[in-house]
Amino acid sequence: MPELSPKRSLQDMILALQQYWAARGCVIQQPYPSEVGAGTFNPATFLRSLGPEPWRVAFVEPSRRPKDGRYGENPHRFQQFYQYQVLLKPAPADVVEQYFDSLRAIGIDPLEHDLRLVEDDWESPTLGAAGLGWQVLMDGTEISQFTYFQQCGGIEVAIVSAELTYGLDRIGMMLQGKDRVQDLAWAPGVTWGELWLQNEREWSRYNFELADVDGLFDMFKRWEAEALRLLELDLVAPGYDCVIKCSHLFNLLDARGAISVSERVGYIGRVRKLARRSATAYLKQRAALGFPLIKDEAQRARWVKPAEDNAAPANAGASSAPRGAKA
Amino acid sequence: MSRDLLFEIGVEELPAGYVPPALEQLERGARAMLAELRLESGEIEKLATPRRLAITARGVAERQADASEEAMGPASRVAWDAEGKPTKALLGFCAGKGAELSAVRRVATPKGEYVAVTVHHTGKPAREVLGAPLAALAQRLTFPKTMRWLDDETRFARPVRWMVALLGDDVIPVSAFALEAGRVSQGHRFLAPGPVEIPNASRYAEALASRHVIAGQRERGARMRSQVEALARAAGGRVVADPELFEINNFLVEWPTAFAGAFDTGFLDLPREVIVTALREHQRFFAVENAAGRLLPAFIAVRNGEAHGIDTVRKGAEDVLIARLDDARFYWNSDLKLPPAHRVDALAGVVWMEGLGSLREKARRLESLCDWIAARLEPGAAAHARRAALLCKTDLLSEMIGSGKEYASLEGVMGGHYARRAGEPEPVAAAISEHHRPRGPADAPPATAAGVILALADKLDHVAGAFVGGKVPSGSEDPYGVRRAANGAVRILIEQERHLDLRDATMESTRAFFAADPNLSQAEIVKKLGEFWRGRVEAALDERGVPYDARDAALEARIVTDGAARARPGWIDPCDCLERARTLAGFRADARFEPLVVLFKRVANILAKATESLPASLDRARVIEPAERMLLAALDSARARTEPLWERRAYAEILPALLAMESAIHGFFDHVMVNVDDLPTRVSRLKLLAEVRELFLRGWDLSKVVVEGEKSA
Repeated sequence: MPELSPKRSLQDMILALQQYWAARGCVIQQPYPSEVGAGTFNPATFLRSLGPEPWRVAFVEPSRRPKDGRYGENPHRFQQFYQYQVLLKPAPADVVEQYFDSLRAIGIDPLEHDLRLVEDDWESPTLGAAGLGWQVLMDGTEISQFTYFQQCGGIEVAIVSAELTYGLDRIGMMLQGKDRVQDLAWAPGVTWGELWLQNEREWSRYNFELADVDGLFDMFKRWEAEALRLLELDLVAPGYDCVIKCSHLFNLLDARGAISVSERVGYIGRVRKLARRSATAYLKQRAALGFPLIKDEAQRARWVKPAEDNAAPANAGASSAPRGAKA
Repeated sequence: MSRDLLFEIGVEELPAGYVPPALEQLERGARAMLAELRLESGEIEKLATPRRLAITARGVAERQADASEEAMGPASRVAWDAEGKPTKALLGFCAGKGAELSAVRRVATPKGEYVAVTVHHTGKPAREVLGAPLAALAQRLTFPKTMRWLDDETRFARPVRWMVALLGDDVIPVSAFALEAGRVSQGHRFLAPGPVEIPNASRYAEALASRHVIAGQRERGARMRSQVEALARAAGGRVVADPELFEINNFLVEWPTAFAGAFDTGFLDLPREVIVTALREHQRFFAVENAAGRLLPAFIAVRNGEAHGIDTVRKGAEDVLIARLDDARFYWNSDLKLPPAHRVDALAGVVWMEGLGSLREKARRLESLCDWIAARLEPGAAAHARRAALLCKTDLLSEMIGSGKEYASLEGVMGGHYARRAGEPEPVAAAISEHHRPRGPADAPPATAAGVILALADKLDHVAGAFVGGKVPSGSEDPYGVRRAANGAVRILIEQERHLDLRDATMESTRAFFAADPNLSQAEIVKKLGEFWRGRVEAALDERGVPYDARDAALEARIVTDGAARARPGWIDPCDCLERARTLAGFRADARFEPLVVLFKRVANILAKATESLPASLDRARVIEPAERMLLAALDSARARTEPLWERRAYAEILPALLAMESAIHGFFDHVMVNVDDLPTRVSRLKLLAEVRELFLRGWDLSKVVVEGEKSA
């Protein structure tokens, strides 16, 4: 296998991150096949961060922010960008060191740059998720978001995860010394512009000018009803998919200027309610399954009730769960 | 024998603003802890970086001081039974205190006879007793926001990753945050990553300095400042003064290296505040100005590291800054296309506070409130203040304030710029620019007359609206900044020496809200507002170091003036209240102070016991006895003497003038019986005393004053 050169192309940089986090016990998942605004929406983050099961995952997430499109003309703003998402649950004690080592792995020498952790209280109102952590700045530019999850789907988390999100396009531009995203080398000999410029132009037209507002409002209502119906039936995965769709529909309508300032809060609240339902349904389901990802016996004893007691711990993910009792 | 103490809490990068208050708590806590533990110590020093909060105490005693304690037990009557045998209560008490029965003494108290023993505590070695209190000290630190990182309820501002606790060269066993303290700290994250052994508490700073961490903020700050200032000089100017920015930068770095950068001269066409904000808010850069105070196209930044690779860092900093300034220029140019006067109608589309109407309605209320205030403070500024009131919220609709969130702190200031560019008169532009001042304790109140009027109107309306809308601050919660607004108004009145009646102002500022919604419980809202404003005035006096009793005496004055239907409470004119309080406090050293207070209290005490209802005015025909007539004459003369003094607020002269009644008051009490059977006579005498008290009360309620003789009582 040829040596990776993260400074040469974005794909080498991604491969280096994949290797780095795979070596640290992460499941390397793949992007979620539905439009998301950030890797946090991927069920591998949103749902798996709930409850007592340990989990380590890393994946690239193509993220859509319809409002950020600039018809491919702005060197820094585009409606589809690439995040690298890592979730470490529980957050290891040396998680900050692991993060900075991952930067070294893609060729960023901290002694050559100014790297700093700037306080940031992260919040996703649509997901009912919140956490404390930092923006990571490299020579003044934000390259990552580093968050200790405190709440997800409105539920206080049982085990605190660390979520590391890398802004791949930006980091790539800095590593390659490119001032315009259009010039970013995706693969040796192939630029971002060659791959995505036309895409940006078309999506920007769609997002800002052509999206069918009435149709989108109608779809929002349908997917919302579908989410409620499916979650009522404890079908977590299909139910949560509908939530993701609602969130994206909201983003599209917002970009299209179809949602007034006063309506915004209402729509966000509706999506949050669905996210909350999904979180509750997921926890119930995992508890019923006996939290199969807990492999450690001591942890199993702490979190999983004996089989004869059919009912699973009612609130294993909620704040009143036995997390006060140290294992 | 004594040794130095070190306690370091190692933590992931703290928000810079969290560090100074945490250090204060740590120092105070350590002092209290050592006193509680009866451990003598020398100087206590606090040290912090983004990754550590530490405290050192010089020369901490090896052992706790021995101590004796008087322990009170049960009452004697239950300590022994009828046969004189010790009861369970007594035996239990002795066992609890580890005392022999023979050591029990009987002590007489105001509540009867009790038993007591003297308990001797022999001091234990310091190292054995420090562990739990140090853990508690760390766990009790409070922060604006805390987080969990373990699977239990442990909370801190960011995860705690190590602790060092040493007495001399011995580790003190401290366990907290699922960690055990040791002697291993951590070096600089990038320059010297990894463990650092601290050999001895006294060598903490030295050990860290060898690993590229300057632990003491004073030393680190001084080094940073001299670098920053030297670079500013080299750039041909000086740093724009900003002590807070120095402090923030100081708590963002463990090993500061400053560097200078530049931006295009063309950006200097932007308002100065915009550039300074673009530099400061996200990037934490220092602005540079020349000797004439004009900005230079340069900035100074501080890196957490060495000079190695500084050109890359500088290039990155300049690129980010230029992108920000580009955004700002875009906002500025598009904002100038629409003059403030053309945005007034659009204010109707912006909600001010939920349920309290739009900004357009607020502008209307401000106009009327400005008229009212101007009539009382400075009628000549009314027209300018009114115009400014109409325009002052339009900058919320601008791109700079509306879209560029980082410029939100320039609300008002930008409005002033837009007004000036649109050709509004300078006093109008200045008033708009100043109307949010003072923004905090470090910010000055408005300087212009129209600015003062509009700033007061804005704050009075904010407070009134919040109370009408039920957004009242409680405890430390004040999401709508109501307290800040009120404190600002009180500060303006005091520092600009403006006399405004806050009670009348409250009525005036609630009028429009009450008119808009007749269902509001007006009496209750006004009452709450009164209590709230009184509290703000009280706090303002405290902040200015007025002793609490002089403060209360001035706040509780009851000012009765001719023609006024009811007394005006002493707090409603903050500036006047402060002056009265200060004068009284200043008079305390005077030999005549105590007799004055005693005199007042003597009068007040009799009146406090009286239940008779007193007539509106004194019937002079009933004042017959010589001593009565003497007092009335003294009162008349004191009134005559003080009347012009009250007008001039010459409070320092008023106090001795009141004292001139001294012998007449004593003569009255010596020769005249107040509580006689004859009701009309009794009422007349009480009324005479009430009028004496009223004259004092016009300035002070001296019953609030504590004099030497009373303190021990």
